[in-house]
Amino acid sequence: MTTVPAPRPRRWRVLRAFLRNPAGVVSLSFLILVAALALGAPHLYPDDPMEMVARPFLWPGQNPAFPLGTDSLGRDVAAGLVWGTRVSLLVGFSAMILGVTLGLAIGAVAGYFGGRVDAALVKLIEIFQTPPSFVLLIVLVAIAQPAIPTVIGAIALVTWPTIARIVRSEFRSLREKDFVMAARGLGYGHARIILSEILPNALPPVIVTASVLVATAILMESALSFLGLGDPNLVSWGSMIGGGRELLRTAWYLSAIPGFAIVLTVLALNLLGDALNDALNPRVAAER
Amino acid sequence: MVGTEPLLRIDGLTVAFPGETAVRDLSLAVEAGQTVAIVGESGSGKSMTALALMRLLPRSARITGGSARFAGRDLMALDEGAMRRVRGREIAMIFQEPMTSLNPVHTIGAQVAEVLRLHEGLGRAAARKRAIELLDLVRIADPARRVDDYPHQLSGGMRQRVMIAIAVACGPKLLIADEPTTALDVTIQAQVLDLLDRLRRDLSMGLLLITHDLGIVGQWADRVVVMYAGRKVEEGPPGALLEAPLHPYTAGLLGASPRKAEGLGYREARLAEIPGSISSARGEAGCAFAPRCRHAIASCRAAPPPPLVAHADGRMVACPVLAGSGAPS
Amino acid sequence: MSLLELRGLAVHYATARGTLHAVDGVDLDIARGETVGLVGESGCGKSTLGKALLGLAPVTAGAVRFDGVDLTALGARARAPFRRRMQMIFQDPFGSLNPRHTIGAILDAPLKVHGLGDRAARRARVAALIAQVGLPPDAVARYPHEFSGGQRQRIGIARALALEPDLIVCDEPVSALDLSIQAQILNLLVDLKRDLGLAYLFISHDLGVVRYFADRVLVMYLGRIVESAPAATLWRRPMHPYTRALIAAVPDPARRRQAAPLAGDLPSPQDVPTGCRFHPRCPFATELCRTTEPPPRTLDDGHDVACHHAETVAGA
Repeated sequence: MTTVPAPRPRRWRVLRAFLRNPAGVVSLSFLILVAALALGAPHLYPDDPMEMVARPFLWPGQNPAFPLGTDSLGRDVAAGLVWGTRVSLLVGFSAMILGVTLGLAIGAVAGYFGGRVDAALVKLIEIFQTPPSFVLLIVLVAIAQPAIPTVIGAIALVTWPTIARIVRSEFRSLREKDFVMAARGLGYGHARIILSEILPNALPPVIVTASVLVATAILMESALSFLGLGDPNLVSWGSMIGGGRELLRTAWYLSAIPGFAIVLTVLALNLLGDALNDALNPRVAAER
Repeated sequence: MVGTEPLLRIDGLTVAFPGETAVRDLSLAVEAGQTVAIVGESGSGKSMTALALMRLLPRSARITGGSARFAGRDLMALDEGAMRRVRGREIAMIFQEPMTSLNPVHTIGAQVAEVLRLHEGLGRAAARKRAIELLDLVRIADPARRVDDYPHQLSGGMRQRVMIAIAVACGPKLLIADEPTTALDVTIQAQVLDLLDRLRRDLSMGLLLITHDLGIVGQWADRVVVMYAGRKVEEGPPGALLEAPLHPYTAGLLGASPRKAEGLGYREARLAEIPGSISSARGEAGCAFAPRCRHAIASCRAAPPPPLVAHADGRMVACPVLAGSGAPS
Repeated sequence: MSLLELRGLAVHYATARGTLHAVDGVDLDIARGETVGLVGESGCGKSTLGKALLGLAPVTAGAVRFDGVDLTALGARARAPFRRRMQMIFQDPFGSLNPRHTIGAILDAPLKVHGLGDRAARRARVAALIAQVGLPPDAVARYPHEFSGGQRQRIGIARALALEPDLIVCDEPVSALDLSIQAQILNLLVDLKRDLGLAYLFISHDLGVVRYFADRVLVMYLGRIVESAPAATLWRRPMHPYTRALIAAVPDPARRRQAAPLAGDLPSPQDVPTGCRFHPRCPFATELCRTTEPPPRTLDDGHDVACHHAETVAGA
């Protein structure tokens, strides 16, 4: 008697495919390092990063106790950078999760059911997409309190329409595929068809966009902080750049160091998105 | 025909992809005014042969051997500039997909006129006038009005006619048609094949017809080349080849065709299957068909593969087992 | 009583350019264990007809009776038990399988949705289905892209068999396959029919395949059935000019370099000709054909034709 082997868990195959992509592995390692810094901040720099600890304008390398130097008020740049990581990652990932959830739900319903439901939801998407997103963001944050949950909510509110549009168009084309027709013919319910048949096929562009959205959210938070609309009680990469703006000629490192952190993180997130897309697609993964 | 050079003579053509040989040591000839059909299933190398002749192979493919003598030159040795003057003017090609072969943003008249202005140097008005004549030649009704239509306004059959008009615009000596009717309905297919044959006769073109359909081969070809996994396995005139195939693969294809059941239904006759798939040919040192062949003997799988041997009536076959025993008479 | 009866079935779509009459009043009967062939050119409505009877295309008018029950009158819940008994095999072996699911998951899902057996029983059933269609046992853990076109079509067949249907709608099941693979799949369908007593509605544009595979054949043109007869009768004595042209258009070595039997294109189903729909392309058309649509008539035993001049055509 032949024994039927149990289906190989899918995530192992995806993981193997992902591990074969060097750009993805490097990006993921970098992001894990950044996350570790964010989690370890209270241990690495137990003191408040807003506190003055040394003389102002120490350049990086001048004093081994402050490897990245100090700012105009004598605050440790390294401590600010590490604590800022917490804010950036928290805002980035929370806003992305909120925005993707909202976008997936609305986009999937609009694209799958079509008709009047679709027309109404498309109008809703358009209402949110008409004003320039950053202007809308500033207005939302200005109306509410400039605190972290408000910033997260506001960024999610301006970014979900992007996801909803992608999901809607994916669902519209996928719902016409023969395998969806076959699922209907086999008597599957709407929920099962949406979640199990169509959604996995619609995810790759969403995953790519989601990782870009984390990056966008980090940039938006930085921009808000740069403009002084961030949470005033917390150090973030944006507020550090904003603080160093006046001193760009004399102490450029104050803006450049957090700027570099943003660039690297955003780049890593983009590369990760590409790598995930390739790994999640069985056909592309098999061709590697 | 001794002494006269045919219009096209392919000799030992080999096309390779990294890790795979698409066409191996292929030789065939096309005379002026003759229809030669290359028949085979997907993966047989028939389309790669066509693309190699046009020197339009995918970037990763290489022509690693052989020659193709056409009008006194070796097409495989021409540089890109000389080849560009051959394409469209002396050798034209039409493809399977009439829906995507035309540019959707230009009128069909403009697309026919384009090739005339490029190769014949005609002016705008002259090219348009000639385009209308060509649309009439491919039997598009009311050509003076249709000339300003866009591709999306035409049916699949009409688009394929426009493709044919573009192909014959400069009076090519050779027309390569790669599955020209596969995407078309059967009544439209009959119209397009009829049209191609009429043009072949009127313009005394050579026609290299690439198809998977044995019925088309039998109805329209003067000579048939059967390809399997990159090799020519059999060649001959269609009547004899389809009546009494010498290669087990040709015989298998005929047996697998429901048409061959001669009006018998599934209750009376079972279709003869060719077991397995063409992918079994990969890495086979001997005859590529041996893994699927009922008649295979041990020596079939030993290198080198059986050579093509000439038989009576201008037939050739690369199988010592079946052809040698004289089994199918 | 027939297993399936269609009466006056119509599927109309509202489009920007007017109503599209995809299926326009079709009567059709399929007996238990019978294979009915449906032939016609693209755009004639044959695929839409197949989908409509499975509830996958909206029925505008008419009845779909399965075992005597009109399915068009039923709600989704009441229809569910009938869904199991009618299944479909699709043309495109690449598009009809979800690329993100393993073969095991594809075959297990219908069993799970319909609550057929516990996990162990379902696993055994999936293994049996895979064996039944001639795939290796390890197929269960693999993905569709790892298989050739012919093997994927076997997977599609296994999925259609999962719920033990009485009727399978085969929509061009071998059109995308190479000839050598076609015969394998057709033989498999014949075996399954014999072993399981299946009835097929076999939709195809390939007359050679239909002639071999069908007990009875219906010819469809622009949303209507123009002729229906037992397969052997239809080829021996076609009585509709369109059927004659279709048969004559099949490439045949016996007809060397023969002129095309039929001129012109299929008209758009949005712009159906008056009278007989075929009259603009018909060599037998008269004034009567231009004005009056011919009703279907039964001429010989089981041979129906919708043509004013069927007797003339048959004698020509």
